[in-house]
Amino acid sequence: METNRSPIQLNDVYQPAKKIIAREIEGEIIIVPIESGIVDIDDALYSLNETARAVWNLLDQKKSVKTICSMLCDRYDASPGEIEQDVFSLLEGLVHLNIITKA
Amino acid sequence: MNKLCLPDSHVYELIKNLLHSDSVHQANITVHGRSMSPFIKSGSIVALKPVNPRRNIRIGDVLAARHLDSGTVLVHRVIWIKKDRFLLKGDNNLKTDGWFSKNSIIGLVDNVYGQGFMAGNRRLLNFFIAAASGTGLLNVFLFPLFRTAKRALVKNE
Repeated sequence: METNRSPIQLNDVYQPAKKIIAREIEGEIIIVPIESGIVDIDDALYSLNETARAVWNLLDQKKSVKTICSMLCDRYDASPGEIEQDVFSLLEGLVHLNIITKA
Repeated sequence: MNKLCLPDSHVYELIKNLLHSDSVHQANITVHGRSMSPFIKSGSIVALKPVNPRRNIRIGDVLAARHLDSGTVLVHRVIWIKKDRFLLKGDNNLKTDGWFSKNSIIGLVDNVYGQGFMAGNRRLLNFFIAAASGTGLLNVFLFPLFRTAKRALVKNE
């Protein structure tokens, strides 16, 4: 759901930030910050749940938030409003943690 | 979105995967336990580098490896090498960890941040530490001797 307060807009395109590295380990996507080729395994690791994983895999520098929501609507049995809300909330969290940036 | 406490199996796969990629040349992890004290004290961070194929693993090197039976990730010293297998031991432990294949090795400890120190590329010193660790000279004789000497010095001050 697009609101005036949300920094995320439906036409925005997001991509993984340059200072993170993501790996799929045993079914989980684990995100590790990277600085000059050095990763700190203890410092900050983030794992994505199933929905977040689906969104993450669609963040390819081309798809807008609107396209991602529409693709998820086809895939999941939930109302468009609920999906938009979940996607917005996830993207806001990822932006806040500097894990994704606007393309 | 969670900050993670990864199981050892994930840590092993993750670091191995990262150190094999072109974009990563060092992975830092925190070491817990006293098995490598005073060279690596509990809570110190060690810098792991990928094992360079052009530089053979040597006796005295400290490696991070996954124990085949328990699955735990160890940061211990190579005290003997037989072909492509490495005998690891914590300097403060009485027993060895057994033999490890090249495949179970995650990386080579290059540096210690916090309390501890590495002999780096000083091969003779590394060999001496490994020999002293393997024979029990370190934890049975030298470490207790140093501790007693330190206590005596502190008392005299």
